[in-house]
Amino acid sequence: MIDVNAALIQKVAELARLELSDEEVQEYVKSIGDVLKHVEQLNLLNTEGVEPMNYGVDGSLRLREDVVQPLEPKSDGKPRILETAPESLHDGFKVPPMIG
Amino acid sequence: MKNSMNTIQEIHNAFDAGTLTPLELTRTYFETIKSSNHNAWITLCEERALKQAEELTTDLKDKHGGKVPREALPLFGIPLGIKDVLTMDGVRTTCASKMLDNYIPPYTATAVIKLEHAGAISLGKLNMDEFAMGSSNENSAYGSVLHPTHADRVPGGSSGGSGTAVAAHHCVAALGTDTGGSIRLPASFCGIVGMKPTYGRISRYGQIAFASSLDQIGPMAKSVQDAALLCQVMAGIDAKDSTTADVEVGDWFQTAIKTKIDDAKGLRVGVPKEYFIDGIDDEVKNAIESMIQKLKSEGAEIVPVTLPHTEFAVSTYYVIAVSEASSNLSRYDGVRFGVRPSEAMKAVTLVDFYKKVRSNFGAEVKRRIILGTFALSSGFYDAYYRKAAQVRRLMRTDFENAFQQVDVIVSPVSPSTAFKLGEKSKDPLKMYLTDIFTIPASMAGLPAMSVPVATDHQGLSIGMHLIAPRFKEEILIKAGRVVELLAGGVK
Amino acid sequence: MSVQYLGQTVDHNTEFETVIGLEVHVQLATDSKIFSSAKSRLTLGESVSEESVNANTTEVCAGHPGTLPALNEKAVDYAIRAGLATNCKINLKSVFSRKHYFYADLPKGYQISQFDLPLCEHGFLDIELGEQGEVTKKIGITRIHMEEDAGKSVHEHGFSLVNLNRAGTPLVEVVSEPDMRSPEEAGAYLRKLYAIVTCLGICDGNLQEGNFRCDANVSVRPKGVTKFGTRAEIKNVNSFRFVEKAIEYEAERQRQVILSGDHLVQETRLYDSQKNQTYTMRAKEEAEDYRYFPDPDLLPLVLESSQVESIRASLPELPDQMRDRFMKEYALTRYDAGLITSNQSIARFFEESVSIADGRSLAKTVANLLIGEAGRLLNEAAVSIVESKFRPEHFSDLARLILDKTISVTAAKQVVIILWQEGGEVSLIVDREGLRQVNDLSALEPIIQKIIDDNPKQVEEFRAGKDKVIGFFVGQAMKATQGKANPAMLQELVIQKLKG
Repeated sequence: MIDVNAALIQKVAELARLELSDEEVQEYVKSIGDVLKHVEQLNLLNTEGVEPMNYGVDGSLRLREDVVQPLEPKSDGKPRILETAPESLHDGFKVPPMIG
Repeated sequence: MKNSMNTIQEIHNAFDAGTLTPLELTRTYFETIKSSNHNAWITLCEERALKQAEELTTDLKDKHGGKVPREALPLFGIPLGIKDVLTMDGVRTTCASKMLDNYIPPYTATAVIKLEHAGAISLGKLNMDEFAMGSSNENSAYGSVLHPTHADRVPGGSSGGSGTAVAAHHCVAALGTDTGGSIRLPASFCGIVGMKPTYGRISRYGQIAFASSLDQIGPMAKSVQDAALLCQVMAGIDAKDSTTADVEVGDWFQTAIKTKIDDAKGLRVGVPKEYFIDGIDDEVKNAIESMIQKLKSEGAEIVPVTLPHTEFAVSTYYVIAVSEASSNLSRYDGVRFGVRPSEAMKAVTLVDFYKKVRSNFGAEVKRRIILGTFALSSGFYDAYYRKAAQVRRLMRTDFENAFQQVDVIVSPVSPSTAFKLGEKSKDPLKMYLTDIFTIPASMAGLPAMSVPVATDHQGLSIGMHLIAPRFKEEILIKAGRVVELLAGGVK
Repeated sequence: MSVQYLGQTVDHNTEFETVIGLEVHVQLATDSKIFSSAKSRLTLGESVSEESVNANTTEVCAGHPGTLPALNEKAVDYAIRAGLATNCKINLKSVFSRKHYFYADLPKGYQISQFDLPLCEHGFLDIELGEQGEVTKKIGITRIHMEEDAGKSVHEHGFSLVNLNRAGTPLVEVVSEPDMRSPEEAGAYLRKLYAIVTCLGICDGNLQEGNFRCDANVSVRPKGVTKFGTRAEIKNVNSFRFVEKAIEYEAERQRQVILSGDHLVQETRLYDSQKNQTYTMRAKEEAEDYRYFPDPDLLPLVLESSQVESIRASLPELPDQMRDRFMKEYALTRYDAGLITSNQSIARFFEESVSIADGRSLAKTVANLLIGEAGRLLNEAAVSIVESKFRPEHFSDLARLILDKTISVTAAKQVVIILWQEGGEVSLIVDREGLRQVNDLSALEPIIQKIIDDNPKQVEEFRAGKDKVIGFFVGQAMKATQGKANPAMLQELVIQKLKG
């Protein structure tokens, strides 16, 4: 059985880019520990050879025709996708330095 | 009261008679909404809605000669509420998260487009659990939604705003979304009809994803016929959602209208023994059993069935749903949209920046991201995600076996009626177990419905849960309508 | 001090071999992106820097909440073509997965890629080695899978700017077996793969714009050892020559590290072409946990074998087949035919050139001009021949003028440069520049006589038996005629005069 401790919660939170306070870590150690303990029951089932059900519906992928349909720019000609940008500069999405 | 009419049909008749116009109706709803303290709405689009209503009112007179064009525009002038998980071009869409407090999408969800093309009016965006994660609507960044009639109780979640809004006459009907019971549970708690169609029936394009293989849009309404009509309008293949199925959509509205109590005759109704376990409120159990007796006395064949993997449903669901959620919620990074807190602006590295931005997520959302990230992470994938996906297959097979013998399966929607605010919010596992009866149909992708059948001694509604085979909405609606009639609902 | 590596004692006399596997990202030339209907492909002649930033971006490629991917059928068709042309088995069922990592140019926080079940597997390519391409070697292809590209960013002081125009561009990643043993083999493999994808028309082949990018996995081991050494992955090199140089540098660096007794670490490195060095980007230990799982938004891609077979039947003549045909049809050497057919637009241009007027006799000359001066100019400018001012008739005209001795090969090269700069008509340029070859003995005689008279010292040397000075006289005469003299005739005349 998996030991849900603070280190594990911290490690996974790091992977998910979440910053947790000590209280949050403690709370998640308990609540996630409870849930995972409950989930342990799945080990009672023999699922050997059972095909995982990874999709909500059967069938195969339907394809799209290769046709360009742009998102129409705003009246001033600026790309519409920038409307929602928290910060932009020269029509680029501005972020902290990605390198260095 | 203009806004307490029960069905779209009644409203359309009033439009025809000239006793009501879409504009009057819309105004009345806004008045009701504004005088309510249920906290059911996050954003109202009053100006947009009134403009729609005005145009329709003019059209009714000028274009349609005073008669509602029911064939071409089956939702003509019908004011609806839209759960805030669905995008609308130019209308703030928050998903009840601080993360999206300022998000105004550049496009509209396919389901909403279809409703509006059918003449519907969107009044605004309904409150919900943040990212549709919750069973009580206590996880909203905009505050809890109150139960429509019992202010100390929850309306159920995650479509709690939709449940309350419909029950409290804020709109004719509303859109909800259902991942593990998020339409059916609030419908049951609020005493209305909620329907989750088969996975693949309605395009998810524009539905902000929680768990992609489970999420479905569906109607919440005051009657089975309205739910059927909305469902029918929204259903169908969409090039933008490749999981929509190419299966014919029936005239479900007509099915609902034509169904009589008599149609109970010969209906094979499955009763799974695993759904009538200890821990169900006696009043809930009695109400459901009494409805089963009524069905039987009207000629339905009651068949005991077994769904042996039911006890594993919550475990399976919580592994799969949170895994998909952790992935779906990776896109909230404050780069292209969403709220960027001021601390994030000071970040000097990208990692630090992400952490500051993602602190916008609420506690339950973070909990599920952590759980899901864990279940997919290297070394645990096979034991958790893959294992759960295998058990999911077994659950689906359970239903396939049961549906060899029956047309429809019935059960309670939830072990209890609406619980008190704060009652379960400190114990996530207990909260998760609220969904024990709704999760299996979600896992198997089946159409399911909640129909109010009784109230408990406190006047809290009890819903019967009906489940049909894949793409058999026709049967579901027929059975649901029989139950509605037997319960003394909409005539 | 003795040093051990892979269970062997190694020193400066140990012969090492380099083991190379390549991962090539080929950008597919579809009009719209792989999962969104945003414009994907640059208009001919347009460069990424000329596109408006973020203009070719929709809510789907920007990963907006609620959006879903819808797979482009043309991208699938192209990926199948890539697989068939490289002798792969096409999997009738393949699966798209999500690969998670956080980066500002990756909109959804995951990349949709094929992981467990790729579209194509178990293929190979033949490459030609040796001076004249006379040795053939088979290089295995492990898999070819489809995926979406990330965006691009520019890094300023204190911040970065993200442009998503490239995000969601369809790619196939072609993964080779570690079958290559030298930078030359790697270069030959890349050139062959490039020739194939451009010949299929599935890739625009613009190296500058990153249409064809390569990651090289490089390790070394003492010759004879079958185990693999610790490898480094050199990321994102987009010129064939740089790949060769990067591998060469990296193999030598690894050898030095081993011989110094230091420990090699598995890592990702970058190549700096200006310094001709590779340097560490990140060590393997820091590698991300990608949390792959099947994308629930994209059902499995299922193909009918008849679909695959009809694509197979519609494949064009591939570079190897074309090379063999050029050898037969135009009597080109294997080497020349290989060079011409390694670039699809040049091969097509060549055939058009040759087909104008009576082709066959001109073929060899046209080939030489295309491989030589024209090829050099195109390469240096990194411009495709179809985008240049060259026209097929230029080369047939030039070849004809060379063959009938109207102009010299040297003069023809001059014309090529003028055509490159300004285009035009060959005969007009030849006349304008006065490049017609002097084939008239009587015109050359007085010129040569004057040179002989002016250079008595060199004449002495010739008489003393130094034949080399003939070149001096020919050169002077060429200069005096501004390169217009027929060189063979000139040589003959000089010798005659000197002897006389």
